[in-house]
Amino acid sequence: MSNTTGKSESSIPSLLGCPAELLLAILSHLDGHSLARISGTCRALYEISNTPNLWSSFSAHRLLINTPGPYRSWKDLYGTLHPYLYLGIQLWWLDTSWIGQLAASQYDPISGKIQIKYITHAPSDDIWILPDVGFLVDEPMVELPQEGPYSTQIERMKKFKEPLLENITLRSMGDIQKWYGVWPPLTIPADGRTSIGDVQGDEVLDKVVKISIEKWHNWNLSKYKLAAVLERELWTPTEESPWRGIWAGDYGPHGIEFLLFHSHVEGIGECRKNGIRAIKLTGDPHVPRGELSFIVPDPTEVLRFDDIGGNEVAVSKALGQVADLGFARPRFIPCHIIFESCDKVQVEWFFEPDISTRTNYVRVSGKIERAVFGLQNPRKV
Amino acid sequence: MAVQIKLMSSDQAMLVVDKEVAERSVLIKNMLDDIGEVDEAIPIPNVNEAVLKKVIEWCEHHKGDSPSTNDEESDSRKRSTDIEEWDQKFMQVDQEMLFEIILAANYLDIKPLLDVGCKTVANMIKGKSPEEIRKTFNIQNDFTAEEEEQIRRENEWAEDR
Repeated sequence: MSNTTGKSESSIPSLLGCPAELLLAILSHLDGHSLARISGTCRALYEISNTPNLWSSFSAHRLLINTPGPYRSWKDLYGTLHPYLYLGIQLWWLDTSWIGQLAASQYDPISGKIQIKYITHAPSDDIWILPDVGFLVDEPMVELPQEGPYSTQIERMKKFKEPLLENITLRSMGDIQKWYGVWPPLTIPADGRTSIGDVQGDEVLDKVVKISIEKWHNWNLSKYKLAAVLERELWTPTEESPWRGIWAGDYGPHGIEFLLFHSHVEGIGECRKNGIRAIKLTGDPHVPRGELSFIVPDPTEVLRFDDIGGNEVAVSKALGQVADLGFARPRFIPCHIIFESCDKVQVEWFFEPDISTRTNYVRVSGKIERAVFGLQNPRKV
Repeated sequence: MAVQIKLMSSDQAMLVVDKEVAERSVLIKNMLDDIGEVDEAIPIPNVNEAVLKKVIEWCEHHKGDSPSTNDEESDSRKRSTDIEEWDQKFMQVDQEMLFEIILAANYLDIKPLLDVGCKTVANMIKGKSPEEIRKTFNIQNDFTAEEEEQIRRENEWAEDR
């Protein structure tokens, strides 16, 4: 045990009279702006407020880095990147028209910029081959801080406050139009949502942003996109919710679409169920992004066993959502879900009792996780 | 009846406190664990009576708190400077006393009190310009004109807000 008050007999206790370890403890509670300002007061405080650890704590865990390069110091890095640090390294879900998109915010330690890149898949008819589902588009959609002629703006959105909104049940389709009024959609859990309209709240969200790009390279769909973080825990399976994850499904002529298998425990005791809700992260002109593709009320209730390649696999009841063009007349039809393996399922859609088609789904969370967090991330965030 | 112990401040004042309360201080707790039961007063040579009383007042109020949860250190540490209402009022003292409490909490090893103290000072710094910070803490500007200009440029990004 050490006596570390370090107080000289005559001095009156004061800020500058504090030993270095206590000054550091005080300064560690400051935000970057206050830290920069206190460094401009006198030499002693300039010295101590330039302690690298004070500055690295703002960015190291967000950008998953151990060194500030190419910046000269952690303070320099913060000075340049502080308006964008909240973006961090994360998976984002964009509201792009009816289709929706996935993107990743990343840090490029060579250029010292934060980039947002689309996540996509190579065109393929055969989803089982999965050549490149969940890879990053090389050219960033946004690079921050930006140079050059593009004037991209990223703006944090304000939280939309309407208690009623959270109470709409997933079955009340009459309210469905309202779902388009918020991002992320009500089909997925989120700490905060923003209104696409002009309803304003006060609280600024870190996890919902508006990306406005003046010049579009690839798409001319709208002037801006809303993007919301898809929290890692939302797509990381647990012992209780093994089906949780991001999946790719082959929707025939609509191509490959990304889905979130949202799964959580509902009810108690005998009624305890752990259903699956397959939510479209990317959609099509019939059933757009944010809508349910299908639900499995209780995956543990086995209807029958099928033989697939010599393996006995469980089949359960499901309900699938179909709609006419433009999400007109949305309705649920009976389906079966075939649990081929922990990473592969099929859904059989019964349009008529004896007319059915099958869609295939494979889990791609692992690929997406590697694409987003990459090799920079050996540890859990 | 609760077990009581005696503490002797630096200015020779004797204070009687519940053992449970005094043991909020890891220093005192370790001492008691080492020496067992004592009748004599435990000397606290770095803390005077006024400050020791204040520290004991805090320990009294917080005696029921669950043992300090090991906050995750370094990177993910919280920058929050939220302070609960009672502690805020408790810390409404002059600056000399505030730093005395911080030094005492550090010496006596009372981490949650040290945290409250540090947060209180941090809140006094936040949102102020360098000049305002100097005034608040009676700091002399000892930069040369060139140094000041260099630092101003270094911190330019922090000016607008």
